[in-house]
This record gives sequence, C-alpha cells and structure tokens, in this order.
Amino acid sequence: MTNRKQGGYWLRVVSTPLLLAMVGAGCATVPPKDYTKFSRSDPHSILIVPAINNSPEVGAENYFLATVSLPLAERGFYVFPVNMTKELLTEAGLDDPSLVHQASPARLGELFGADSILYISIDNWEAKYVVLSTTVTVGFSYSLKDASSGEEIWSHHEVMKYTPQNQDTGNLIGNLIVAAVSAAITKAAPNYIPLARQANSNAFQVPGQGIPPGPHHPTYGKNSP
Amino acid sequence: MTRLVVLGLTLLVCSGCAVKTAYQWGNYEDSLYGYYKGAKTPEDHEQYMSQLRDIIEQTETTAGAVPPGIYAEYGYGLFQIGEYPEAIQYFEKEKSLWAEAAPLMDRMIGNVRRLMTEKAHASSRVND
Repeated sequence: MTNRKQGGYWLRVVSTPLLLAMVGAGCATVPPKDYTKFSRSDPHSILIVPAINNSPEVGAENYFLATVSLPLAERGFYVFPVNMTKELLTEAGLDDPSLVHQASPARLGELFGADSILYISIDNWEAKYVVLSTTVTVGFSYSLKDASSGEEIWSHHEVMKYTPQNQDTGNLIGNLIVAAVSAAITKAAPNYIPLARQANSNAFQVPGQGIPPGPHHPTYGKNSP
Repeated sequence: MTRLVVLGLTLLVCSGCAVKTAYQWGNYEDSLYGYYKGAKTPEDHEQYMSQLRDIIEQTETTAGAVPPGIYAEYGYGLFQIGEYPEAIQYFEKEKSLWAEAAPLMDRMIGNVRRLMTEKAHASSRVND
C-alpha cells in the first residue's frame, strides 16, 4: 500500500515538470487574451487614425498607414478610408497625430460615425548595420477603443526583426563581397513595408491574440477568437 | 527567434504565390505608399487616383465588392481637384455598398453640395 503510494508520488514528481515542458514546447508562452470587452462592444467598423511615430525615421507614420487597412478589411470590418480620414483630421486642425490620440474617442466616433478607433504607436522602424549585415526592425503598439465608451477593447504589441540571408558564393572572399553589397543595399534603402505588413498580419490574425473576425467575415460569431 | 523562423518560412512560401484575399486590392498599398513617399505633385495625385480607378474598374467588371473605403478615397480625390458632382457620385457609391459609411458619406455629400451652392452664388454675383 505504502509502496504504491510512493510510486504514485514519484510518478507525479517526475511527470509534472515533464508535462509542463511538453505543454510549453507545443504552444506560445503567451496566454490567450480576454475578449469579454471586445465581444460586448462588437464593433462593425474601425476608424484608423494616424499613428504616433516614436522612431527616428521621419515619415514612417505615413508609410505605415498604407499597410493597416487591408488586413483589417480582410478580417471582416468596415475600415474608414485612411487617407481621407487623415486629410479631414488635418483640415480640422488635428494635423499632429498626438493631438488626435489625445482627443475624446466619443467625439471622433461621432464625427466619423465609427464603432471603434484604432490607435497605433510606432516604437521601432530602424535598420542597424552590424558586422556586414543589416537587421531591419519594426515594432508597433496597437490599442483598439470602443468609440462610445472610450474603453480599450483590444491591445497588442508586435516587434519583428529581419536580417536578409546572404547568398553563399562558395568562397570566403565572394561571401564577404555579397554580404557587404547586401548590407549596403538594405542600409541605403531598407524596405520596411513587407515587415510592417507581416507585423500587422501577426497582430490582427494570430488566434487568441488578434482581433476576432468582423461582421463581413465568413466565420463572424461562429467560433471564439 | 521562432518568429524569425516563421517569417522566413512565410516569405519563402508566399514568394511563389499570391495570398487569396476577399477583395481585389490591386496596387492599393503600394500606390498609397508611393503617394506619401512622393512630393504630392498633381502628377503624383493623378497616379494615385489612376491606381484607385484600376481597383474600382477591376472589381466592377467581376462580381466582387469594391474594398471598404476605396470609393470614398476616390471620391475625396475628385473633391480635392474640384470635381464636385463626380465626388458626390462616389460618396453615394460608398454609402450604398457599406452601410457603416453612411453617416460620414452623408456629411461629406452635404459639405460638397454646400460648397457647390456657395460657388454658384459667388459666380452669379460676379456676373451681376
């Protein structure tokens, strides 16, 4: 009796960390988000306001704006025309994105007839040159707010890094030249857009982390996020 | 690290094929990016407008819906170059396709109509 008990104990002691390790390896360490507020708000439309640019790259907020509408519309939401929104806000004297982010969500929502407002800050938008190779980094903080209550109904932070893979020429000198050329190209004209697209797609679509499908999506309301 | 591998794989997989989307976006992202990157000359504006026109024409000839916001963006572009009646047409199109856009489109249409009336009054005063 005692032996069996002891055996059970040891099995438990050994198996618990093992199980934890197995579970940990199989899934991301991030727990799924709480979608209670999102479901209660059930937004049908999203107003994307100009992003706040905290990176040193001048103009990044405009370039980035070009990559946000498509993935959200494909997610099943009505997305307000971003360029028109930007121009209308400028006309209204809100040409500085930080002014827009400080404005009352209810007022903005009423002005545009929007259910929700997406606020984004650009945290990283940079290319770093380290030993014959360039790493491009983009990072964004997203906050979706219910337009009538002003309450945050979803938020996310996404960072993506990309280092172009250098081609192997088969000899050391050749490889060094290729690496130098590829780094120079990336440094001179780093292409952030594909990386920004990938970041948005991760942010919006990853199950348990992203934005649940909207009313124009075939799986709207059918399954949990 | 996992993300880097996933990104690498995604890029590899996606380089050979186009991702299937619900709407036909044409060159929407690239054209808006190009518009912001450029000096916003009338030529840049026309190029951006012609890309929007392509998306609209492509979709209208097939059975699909024009993506949210595209009719409105095109209408606003027309408004910016003073083509008011045409701008109203496109705001109407956005409104009839997307119910969510109705309040904003009604406001835009109202504003453009008011501008048209003001201009008509101004020119009639000049004629008097």
